[in-house]
Amino acid sequence: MEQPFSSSKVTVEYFDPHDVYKLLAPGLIPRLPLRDLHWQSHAGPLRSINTLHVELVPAGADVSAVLSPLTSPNPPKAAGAGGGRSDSPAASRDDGFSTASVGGRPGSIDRPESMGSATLRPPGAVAGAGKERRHQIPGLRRTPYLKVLLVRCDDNDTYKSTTRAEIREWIKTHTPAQGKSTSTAENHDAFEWLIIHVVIPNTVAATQPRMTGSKAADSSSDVTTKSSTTSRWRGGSSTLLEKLRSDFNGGSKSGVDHVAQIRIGINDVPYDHLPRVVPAVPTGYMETEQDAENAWMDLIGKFKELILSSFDMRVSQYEEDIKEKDAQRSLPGWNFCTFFILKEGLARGFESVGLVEDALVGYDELSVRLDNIMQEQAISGSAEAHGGALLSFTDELRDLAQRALAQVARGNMEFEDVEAVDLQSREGEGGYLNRFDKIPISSTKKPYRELILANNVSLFDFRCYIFARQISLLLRLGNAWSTREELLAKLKEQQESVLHGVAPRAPPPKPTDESENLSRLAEICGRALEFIPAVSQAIRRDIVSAMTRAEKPKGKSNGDGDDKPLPLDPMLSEIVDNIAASFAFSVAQQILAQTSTKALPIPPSTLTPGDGHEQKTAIPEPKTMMHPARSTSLNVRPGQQRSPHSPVGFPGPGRRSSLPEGGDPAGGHFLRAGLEELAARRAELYTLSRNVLEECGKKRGWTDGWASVPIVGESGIADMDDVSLDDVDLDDDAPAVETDETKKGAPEKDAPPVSMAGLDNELLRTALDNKDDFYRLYETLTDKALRHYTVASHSQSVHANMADLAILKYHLQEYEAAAFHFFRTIPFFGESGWSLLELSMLVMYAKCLKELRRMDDYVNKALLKLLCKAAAAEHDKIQQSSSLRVGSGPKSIGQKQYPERSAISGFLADLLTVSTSLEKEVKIPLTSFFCDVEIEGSPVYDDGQDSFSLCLKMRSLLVDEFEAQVVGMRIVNPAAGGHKEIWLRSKGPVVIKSGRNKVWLQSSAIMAGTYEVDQIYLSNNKVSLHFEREIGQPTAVDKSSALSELKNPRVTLYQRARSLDVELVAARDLYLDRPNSLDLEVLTGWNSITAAEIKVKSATGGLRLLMSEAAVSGEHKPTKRADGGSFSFGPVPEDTTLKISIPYKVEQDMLSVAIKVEVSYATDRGEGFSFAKTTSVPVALALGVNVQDVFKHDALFSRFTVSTATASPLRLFKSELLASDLFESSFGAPPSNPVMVFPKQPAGLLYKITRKPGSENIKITPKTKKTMFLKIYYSVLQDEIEALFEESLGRELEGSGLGEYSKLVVSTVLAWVQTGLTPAELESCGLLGEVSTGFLSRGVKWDKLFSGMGTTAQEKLAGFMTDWLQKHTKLSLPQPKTSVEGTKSLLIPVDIPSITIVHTADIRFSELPSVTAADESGGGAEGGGGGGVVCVNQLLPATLHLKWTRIWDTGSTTPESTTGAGVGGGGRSEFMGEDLEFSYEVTAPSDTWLLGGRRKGHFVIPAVEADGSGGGLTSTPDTEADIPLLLVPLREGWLPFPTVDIREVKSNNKEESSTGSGSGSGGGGHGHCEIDYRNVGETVRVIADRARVTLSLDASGPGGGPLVLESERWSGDGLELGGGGRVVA
Amino acid sequence: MATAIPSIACLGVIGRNNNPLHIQIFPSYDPATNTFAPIRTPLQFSLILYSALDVFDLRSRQNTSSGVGLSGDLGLLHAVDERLAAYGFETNTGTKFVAVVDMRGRRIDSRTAASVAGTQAALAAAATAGVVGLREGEMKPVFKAMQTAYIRLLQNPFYDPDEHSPLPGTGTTGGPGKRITNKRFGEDLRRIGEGWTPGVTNLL
Repeated sequence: MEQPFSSSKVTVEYFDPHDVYKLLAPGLIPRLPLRDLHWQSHAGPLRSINTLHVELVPAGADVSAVLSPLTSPNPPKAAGAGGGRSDSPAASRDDGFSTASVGGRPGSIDRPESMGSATLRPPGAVAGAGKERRHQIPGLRRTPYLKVLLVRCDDNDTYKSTTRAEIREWIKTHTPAQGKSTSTAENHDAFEWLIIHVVIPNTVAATQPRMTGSKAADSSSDVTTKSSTTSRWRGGSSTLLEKLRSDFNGGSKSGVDHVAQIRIGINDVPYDHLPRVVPAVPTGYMETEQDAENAWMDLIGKFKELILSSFDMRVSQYEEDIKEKDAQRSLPGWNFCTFFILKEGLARGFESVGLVEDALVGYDELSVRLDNIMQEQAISGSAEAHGGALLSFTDELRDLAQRALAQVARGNMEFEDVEAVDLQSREGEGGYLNRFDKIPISSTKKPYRELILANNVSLFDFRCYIFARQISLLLRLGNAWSTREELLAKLKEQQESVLHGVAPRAPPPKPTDESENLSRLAEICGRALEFIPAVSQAIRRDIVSAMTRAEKPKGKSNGDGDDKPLPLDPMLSEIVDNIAASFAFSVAQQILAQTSTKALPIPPSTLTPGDGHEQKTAIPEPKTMMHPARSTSLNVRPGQQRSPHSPVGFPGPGRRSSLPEGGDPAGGHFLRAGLEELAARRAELYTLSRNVLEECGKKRGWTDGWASVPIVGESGIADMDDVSLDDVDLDDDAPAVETDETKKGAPEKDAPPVSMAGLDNELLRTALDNKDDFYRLYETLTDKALRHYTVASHSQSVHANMADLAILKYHLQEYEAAAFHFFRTIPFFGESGWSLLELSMLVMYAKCLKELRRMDDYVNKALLKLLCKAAAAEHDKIQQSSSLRVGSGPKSIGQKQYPERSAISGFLADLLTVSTSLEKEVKIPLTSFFCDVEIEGSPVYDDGQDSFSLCLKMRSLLVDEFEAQVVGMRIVNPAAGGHKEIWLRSKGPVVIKSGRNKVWLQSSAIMAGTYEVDQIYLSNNKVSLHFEREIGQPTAVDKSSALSELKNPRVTLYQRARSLDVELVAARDLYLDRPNSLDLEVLTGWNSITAAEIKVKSATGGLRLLMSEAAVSGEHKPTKRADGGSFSFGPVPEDTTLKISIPYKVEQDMLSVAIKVEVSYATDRGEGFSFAKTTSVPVALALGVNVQDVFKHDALFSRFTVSTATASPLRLFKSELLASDLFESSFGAPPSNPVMVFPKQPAGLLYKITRKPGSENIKITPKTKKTMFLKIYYSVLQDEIEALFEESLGRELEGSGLGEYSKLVVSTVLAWVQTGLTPAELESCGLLGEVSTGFLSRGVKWDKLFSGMGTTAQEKLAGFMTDWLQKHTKLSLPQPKTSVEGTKSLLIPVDIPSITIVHTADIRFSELPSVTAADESGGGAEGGGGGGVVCVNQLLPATLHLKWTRIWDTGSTTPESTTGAGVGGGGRSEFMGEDLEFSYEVTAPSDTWLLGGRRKGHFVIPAVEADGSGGGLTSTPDTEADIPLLLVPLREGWLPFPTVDIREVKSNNKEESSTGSGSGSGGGGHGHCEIDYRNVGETVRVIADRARVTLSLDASGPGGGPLVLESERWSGDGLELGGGGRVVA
Repeated sequence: MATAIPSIACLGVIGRNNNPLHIQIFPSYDPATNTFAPIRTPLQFSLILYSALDVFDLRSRQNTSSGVGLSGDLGLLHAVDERLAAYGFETNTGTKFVAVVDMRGRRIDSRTAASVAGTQAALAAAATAGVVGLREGEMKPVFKAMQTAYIRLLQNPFYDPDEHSPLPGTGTTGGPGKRITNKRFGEDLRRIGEGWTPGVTNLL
């Protein structure tokens, strides 16, 4: 039926005395409804009425029978209501609504029988049964807006004779309003009238034109033109139409045309109705199509006009009345009901003409007004005070309650038989029980309007009525914008109904799929959501007041004052609950049904909106798996058929309309406006119904599972605990606990009376009938809601519902399904921090998986997550409590909810046991379960053996304790040069308790250094908790990351004084000519070693250890000497030093070499000790030596310059130049004290080297040791200082009882000493013989240096250092020993260069001038004889004395064996054996000396005799040359001697002979020859040759200068006048 | 005859990442046992708050699209059943307040005794609510008070809002954010929850 339109119908009454309606109807009906009406409202803008349906009612029917209920005859059905008509109860019987209305009809309510004819009424179909009851209050009746008189008048005669009179009569009776009365009551029913002249073909009238031309004024213009032609025929006589007009239009009026004429086509008239007699006078007038159309248009136009006109009249009247009533509002006695009826009348008026929104506004206003009234009444406390009292209770509700009570009373006696009682009572009281069952909200359920009018309405009814009206209007609005096609379809139906009467309508009507305004539907749902809580309040009050009133006579109640708490009879309250719940449920179901639309696509993947059977086919796999058991059990149940069906798809029109469509719903309607909203609203309604159900179920002990959720937020109670510190809720937590218990246990025990009584809703009742059905319905509703939410894309709600489902399944122990839902839901809660939800669901999930034996998932997905989350929550809690502790004050008010610990207990054990069966190892980050992981304290060293323990402190966040079979930790030394790592392990299985734990981890490996923890693991079977961190990362600063951080990760290990140690020393005696060795000392300390293996590896690139040449000194020899540098030792007692000396080679010079030593050993106290150390030792030379050689004729002076190689000064104790086979050395008197060599001040050592006496005879062979060795005994000051510190510290440490730390302290201090002393300090130290320790006190933070040792040790050591530094501001170096023992030595090979010939040239003056005693400077003025003074130009005879020697030619005899090829050249022996020719040349600067004599010359040095007699080695006086020279000094001053050059002269033949040697020294070269020129540095003092000079002091000299008169030459024996030297100017 | 009047069953503060910041549950009167007890488990309340988020999303989307405003009272979010209803409010920083009202959480006589806001008008209003249900605007004082409490919380220099509702992208490690543990805030909320009845206009 066309509900949406049914209420917007305008009644048009027709009076059809001539039975022509059936002729007219075929033409009229298709032109209905009226379209595009425009009404100018009084208050608002122009309203357009798109379509206005007209209800044609024959006047014979009782108009007043169409009472108000008819405006909303049936509960407006949902959008799909394209379906049946109201006269087809059969069609709607299955939808659950109409049954109600039909069922309601036989009820006692006095109600017109004409229900079924609510819409079109075939003529004469309904006899006017009731009489019209005029009411004093207007607005009740539905009176026609227009009365139509159908006139058949075939010709003018008839008209004159009868018709006119008839019409007059009719008008007189039916239009009393006209012109006479304007009473308000009449105006409320104002109507207009219209006469339609129906012209039958073949009559006279049909031949008439419409009107004559003269009277064409008030007709349409085109008609006028037509009629002008016809006027010729009929002359002055007017047509029937004109007559009618003139007669009845009442010319006085403003020209409202009340007359229309319709001509029926000849084909439209049934044959038997056709007049056989053709009028005699054919006018020839033929009605054209156009004419007919115009006539119809005219008619329709008149319809519109007249209807609007009467409507307008009515509205004005209503508005006036309302205004008036409203104004009286404050007057006493003002009755709201009256006002209501009046206003509703207006609203209905609007509605009836299609202005639905206006109508809705009207009702909304009324609703608010009702609320206001109620509020005012509540405030004033008097119901009568204002607006009139409403009934305090509703009869029906009271009856219901009483009946229920009675039923319970019966039921209580035979409690086990409740069901039977129920059944009986249901049968007996079907009428009542059905009252709220199907359609609780219907404006037709009761004659509300009359009740209201009679002031006989309760608030409950009142609200229901308003709500029903609102809903129906909204439904109409929701469908209002229907498409044209639909309208046409409706029209067609209408038309068909006209033609075929009440023919049953077999085919389902055309669905109205496009028509729904989804947001309107959503609004309906929204309003319902607000309505339900409100009205259930009303119900409660209603019933309670009814019952108390009923009880009053019995005297039970002391008074019904509102402020006096009357403890409700538990039974009554139960019934009230039931009724309210039932009502709410029903309303929700009704609204759901009404708003269901197939435009709302419910995802096909889940349940379809169809019934249970469809559901089963449509649901996805997992659900089918979970359903069958229960659904079959349901299907088996006889007589319960409804329950599986109806909950899912509440059988409403929506379902009907959607079913034929098949798969259509899914297609194409997505995202329509309001779609999501509608879906959401509907989902909420479903949820609401479900919650109602759940509440009911709770009373029966059928929980939805939430109450028994493992982790019921016990914390909530904890919160309460805290809250209860205050006043109000002091006693609340105890009950809270109880209720929690009662939720489980109570229903069996002393449950509050549970009864079905009052539960009217069939569905609800069925569901609550037994547990299975309850859960079934619960699940279905939840699922519906879920799917609707899905459509609405309300993801949170979807998850919430899914959670509900999951919990339910869990509760029902359908673990598969539960797991499925849990799996999908849980992450979302976790994501956004709803950890409480997440946790408890995880617990359940875990149990599900366990039940399902899905162990892998169980462990990895559920348990782990659960435990982690629980641990995280625990951690949170800890943090918070700690922060609160800081915050001081009472305990937290418990905003946070922590999972109850006990709920999680046991899972860990599960995890551990189950995990053993898994294939893979389960790895869990340690921080998931532990927090506050830290290394507590410092390493604890075991006494007497080389092992230590660390205390790992951590806080287990787990509830349970468990046993870790292994706890391990790795500490790593990140220092450069070797990544050292030590594993520590627990000694055995460790039980990790909940809360704080301390685990001792032990390691028997000791490597000194600072370590950081980088791995921790705990393992139990296949579960391993691990923790890794980057070393070197800064320790946590902010709190947030504290969880993942290891506190205090640094560990400092040190070697105790007596632990096993390895020291590496470079050999004290260094040899430059041989590979050096490193001395490795292994100190056993306190370890009595039973077996040990020492591995030595090079730790420096380029260092090659010659392990094969390694030597172990001492009594303990290795038992086995493996390759690759490992030494195995047998038992070694305590305090023994194993010394291994390992020669090494380096590829290039390096400052230091490092060696890695690993010792694994067993002692008498245990095995498995290991030790590793990488030590380095400097191998660079501490000093540098340079040599300068000066060859003399018979001696070689070598000067060794010893300089420091480092910044540190050296102390040079002694030096010696070791003689070789050929040479020996002599040294001057050695210094009494060691010499200090400073970097800028090298020491020089001068040695005189001579050939050993007799060595001339030694045959020089390659084996002859020619090389001398310089051995230097020295010590480096730095070393001395270090030793000094070490000694001093060690002593002090022993003294202060810190001996254990000596190694640590010393090494730490020495590290500073090595770097901290500046060169200047070292220098001053060397000079002063004492060290200032100041550098250690500035800038060294001792407490930091000893961090990682534990605070006490750290403080002690730091304190010790401070003390020590204060006590020893200066350390004096010990007096250097004079002995060389213990000092370092360096042996340097010194090669004496082989010089072929050393010449000695000497110039001697033959006679010395005896002039004066002025001595010559220079050492060897031997020839000068004490050095005389010579005069310029004095002739000085001199002798150049040339000597030579071959003793320094130490080349080997055979060229092949000469080692130093470059030095002397090959054929030196040949040189020895041959003459060598040299040239000499004496040269002098030409301005200094004038040389005379043989300045150049050759000389030959004879070969050495082969027999080796020494004679030939050195020149003899024979072979020496004396070459006389004459020297004349040319100027005054100290003149150096002329220089003598001696060069080898190459002779050709010698060259020949010498070339054979092929030596590198070049053709014929002799190699080196040295010249010892003895006059080097000697000078001759030359003075001017004047003894006396006489000068004339007048300016008579040349140039005016003084004139030398006389000069006297210097002579030996006095003055001697120069010969003729007198110069006279 | 005692009249049951609405009371607050649960107050929730939800951060902008839809993470719960604070949930407080208030006991309701149970006529059967004549005691006060929460009518749902905390989990169920959590779930109610959680589902209410959808409505927040929806409304804020509607508001932004229609340009109505960013914050404000959202009115009824949910009618949980005929007894419980959830009302919502969203601040312009995205923090959401939810008040779950139990329509029959108190008896009026007990309230008169407690007399938290026992003015005549309030009582009458409460009675009205008992009759006609909650009216628009009844929840306004609650949300106003909650907002005031929240603002006071934000003014606390030790409270770091970003810690509790980290901006997207920044708080990767901290998860969705911490809860509010401020004692005073909790007490404020408790006072609000206990003090409210229909008609009370000032809660702080």
